[in-house]
Amino acid sequence: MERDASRDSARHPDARVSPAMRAFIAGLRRKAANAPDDAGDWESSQIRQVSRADDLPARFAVAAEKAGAAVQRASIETAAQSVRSVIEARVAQRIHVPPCDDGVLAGTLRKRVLAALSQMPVLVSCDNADAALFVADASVTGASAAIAETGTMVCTTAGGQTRGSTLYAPVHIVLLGRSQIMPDLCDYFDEACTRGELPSNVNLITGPSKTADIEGVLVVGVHGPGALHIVIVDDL
Amino acid sequence: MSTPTGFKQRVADAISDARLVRAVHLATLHKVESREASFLAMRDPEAIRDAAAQIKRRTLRNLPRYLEQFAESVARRGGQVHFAPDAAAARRIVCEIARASGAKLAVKSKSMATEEIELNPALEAAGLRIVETDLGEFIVQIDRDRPSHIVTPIIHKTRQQVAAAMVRAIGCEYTDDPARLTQIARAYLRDVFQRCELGITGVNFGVAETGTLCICTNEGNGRMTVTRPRVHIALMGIEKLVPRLRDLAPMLKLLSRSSTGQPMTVYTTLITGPRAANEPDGPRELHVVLLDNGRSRLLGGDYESVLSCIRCGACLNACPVYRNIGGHAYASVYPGPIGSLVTPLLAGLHRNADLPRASSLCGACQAACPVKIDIPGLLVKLRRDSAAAQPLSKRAAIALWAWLMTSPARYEAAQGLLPLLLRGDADGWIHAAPGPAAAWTHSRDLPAPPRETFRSLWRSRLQDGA
Amino acid sequence: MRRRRSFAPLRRSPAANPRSVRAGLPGVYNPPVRAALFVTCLTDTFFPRAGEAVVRVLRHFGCAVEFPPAQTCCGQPAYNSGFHRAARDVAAHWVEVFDPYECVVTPSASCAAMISRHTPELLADDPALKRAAERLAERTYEFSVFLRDRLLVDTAALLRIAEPFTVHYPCHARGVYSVGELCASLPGEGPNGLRLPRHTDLCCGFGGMFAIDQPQISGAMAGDKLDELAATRAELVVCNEAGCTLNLMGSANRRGMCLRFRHVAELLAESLGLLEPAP
Repeated sequence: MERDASRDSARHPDARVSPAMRAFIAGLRRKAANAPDDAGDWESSQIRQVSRADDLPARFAVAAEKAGAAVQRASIETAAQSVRSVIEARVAQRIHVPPCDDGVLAGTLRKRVLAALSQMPVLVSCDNADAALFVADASVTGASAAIAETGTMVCTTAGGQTRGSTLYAPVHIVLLGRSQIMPDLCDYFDEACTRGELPSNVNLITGPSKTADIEGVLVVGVHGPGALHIVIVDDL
Repeated sequence: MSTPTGFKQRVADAISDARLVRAVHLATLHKVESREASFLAMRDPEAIRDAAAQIKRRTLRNLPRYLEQFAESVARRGGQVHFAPDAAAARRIVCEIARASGAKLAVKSKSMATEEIELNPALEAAGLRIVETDLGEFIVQIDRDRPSHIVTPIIHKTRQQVAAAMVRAIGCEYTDDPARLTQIARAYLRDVFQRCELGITGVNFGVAETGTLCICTNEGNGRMTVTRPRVHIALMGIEKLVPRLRDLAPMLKLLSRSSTGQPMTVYTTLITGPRAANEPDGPRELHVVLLDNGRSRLLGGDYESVLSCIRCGACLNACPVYRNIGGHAYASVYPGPIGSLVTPLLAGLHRNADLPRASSLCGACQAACPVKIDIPGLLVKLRRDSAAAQPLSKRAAIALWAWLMTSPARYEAAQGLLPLLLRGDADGWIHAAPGPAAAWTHSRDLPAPPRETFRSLWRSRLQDGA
Repeated sequence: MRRRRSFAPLRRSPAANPRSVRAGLPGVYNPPVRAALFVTCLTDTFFPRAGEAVVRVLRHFGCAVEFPPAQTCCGQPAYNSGFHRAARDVAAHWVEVFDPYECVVTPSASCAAMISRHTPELLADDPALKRAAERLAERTYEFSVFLRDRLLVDTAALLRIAEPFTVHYPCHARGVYSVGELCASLPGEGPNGLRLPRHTDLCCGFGGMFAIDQPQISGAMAGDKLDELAATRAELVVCNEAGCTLNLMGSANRRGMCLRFRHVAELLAESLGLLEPAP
């Protein structure tokens, strides 16, 4: 965290707050010096919808499916097969698997998924270059966390992950460890606050990209993936 | 925000457009029902609304402190913080950043603040091409229209109108299938995203503690806009802050549930600084432009809570007035109940004195507001503040009314005159009333007042306990 | 110029005995609850029968009803349209008229809300009047709330309505009772009972001066409301608010719709045999 901050400031020697901003704040402070802070604080328990006692993968699956995602349960043994069946069903030809991942798509599971893909008639790319990302029919990624309340997955740029791999391809397949599922949105934020510096880009993803702009008709796949498949790996 | 045609004329135009009225009814009632269903499914939604209202109140009460913390946090993570006291300054700052970046093609993710400062024409005048990327805003742009809802900008358009605009602007084949139209727009905008150099967004929430910008979109255009270009400019009102990262939880729980009934928007993006050295994509420069444009004037006054608004659009959907006149009749970037507050408060009450009066004060907006803004109460205050500028005839009528109502004798005399002034036809109804009552019989009849009032009934038959 | 007087707090009457009410026996309050009727200007002028029904029902349940003859209006029309100086003078008159009474009952929810929510703030320039207004705010009741909370009467059980009916919720009642509370005061839902419109709390477009200021919008809103009421296929509408009633019945008549509007007090008085059925 300390290291990140110093690197940032080294890289952005000219990052600054404009004098106009500082002058405005000073002026506001003079004007509103005596405003009483009479608002109380809130507790997570007040707003919590899901607790640790709930069946988190089940709650997650219901919420994610309601948002339009497809959810499967699997084990470390069967997860690669689940990915494979989605790719077959979606007739995807070019598959992108980003080179690094801060979720469960690492180590053994990553090897198994890549092995399963290598037996399929598909092109697999682990290259983060635009050219590779933009032509992919499907991307397979992990996630850094998930939220049962809303069926949300969190995908970040931590560790140098690309923003594009969870965004450009029409099909996004996510492998999620059961233990990564947090009960409630407030749990995620309570925890994110204690993890140190936030990555530059954090996405809370809830279902496939969608719009209802034209006559209120729901259409998926506007700018992001039109299909979101989530595989919950129960033993991770 | 003043317009050549008056409010009454715009209302007349809107109400006579049966297609528009039907479209807005269908869309808003659907959203009302979705919102109600999603709130019913929540445990203790009132507690969340209380928490959210509290967070915004604390933010506004301590705005200098949180602004400073936010600005320092953004800068610490490598972002530049700019301040725009008004719309002209905001346009100047954005154009200056654009010029310095050398960008020729800019993309924009839907943002009310950029609409408020009328940014697009300024950028175009500075030689940039700017492309709206939210599907609805894209269609508004290619059809040279104006958005009529703060969340669903083309709520007033039919699919046929959308199709015609697409054919005209990008030369595609005609289709009025929303899915096909969306695919055509996706392909067109993909190309734009591949080449764009500058991305402009608004901000749903800014986190003081971390300098984080929270941007919510369903389509993913917000994500594209903060992924593809080299430079990202975020324009945000100074009131958009929340103190801590954890304060986002109640806000996000409410925002999309209030807006569309979804538990979460599809993409809730948290941006903290430009891309890090080890990241393969994302903007290398981040500029945050904080916009005042009349907001700080409201701090500490009667109207401070208007700044709590999170622009969810729930009050527009709930409003039976909006439902009948649509967004364009308000002739403002911010239509609907909250717009009837925001527009006069930011752009001047005297040019917009009709807006706070265009409400039956039914309170549906307040009941729907996730941060519990007392919209009807504040509308009444704005009416109070503009009462002296009302037409003399109206002020005189009110003075006469008060004179009658402060004396039982005068009240009773007036009551006695009423049946003489308002004579019913043979069916006992008044179909075309004279004088000021004519406005009443514009769309409805008036029962002829009965000869015997309650007070005469009381005296003659009820008084003695009969 | 203005009459000065002292505004001593009044003692409240002992609570009614719930058991005797449950037995349905009228006249069991000892000492009787003394209620001042604020009939409101619109009910006084246009709906005297609703006022009469209120009096008869209150007397039936043992109240001593008084009608302060100097009463006029609560000032709501001027307040809502922002003419607070005029509203203040009318509100001051209202407070002076009703201050001597133990409690105030009104058939209008919006006037009750005006008195409880806005009258004190209007009189901020006169501390004695403001205090009197604050005390009056606490002891002013909308009719059905008074029956429920002070007289402990279960109106839903007493109402005999021989046809399907629907209900209009007056928006300005939000500060007085909720949609749920209004429905709870009426016989239950059913094909021959209450038929709720799709959006029970939809505004009728009255809004006081709004109906005159913005006749087109107001008329369109009345149309929406009437469509929802008509969709229930009930012809009787319970409407406890004179302004909404005036607007809705006038709009229904213009459209040639056969809807009848009744205050719950009228229906209650008819159910209890205190009023002849309406013509």
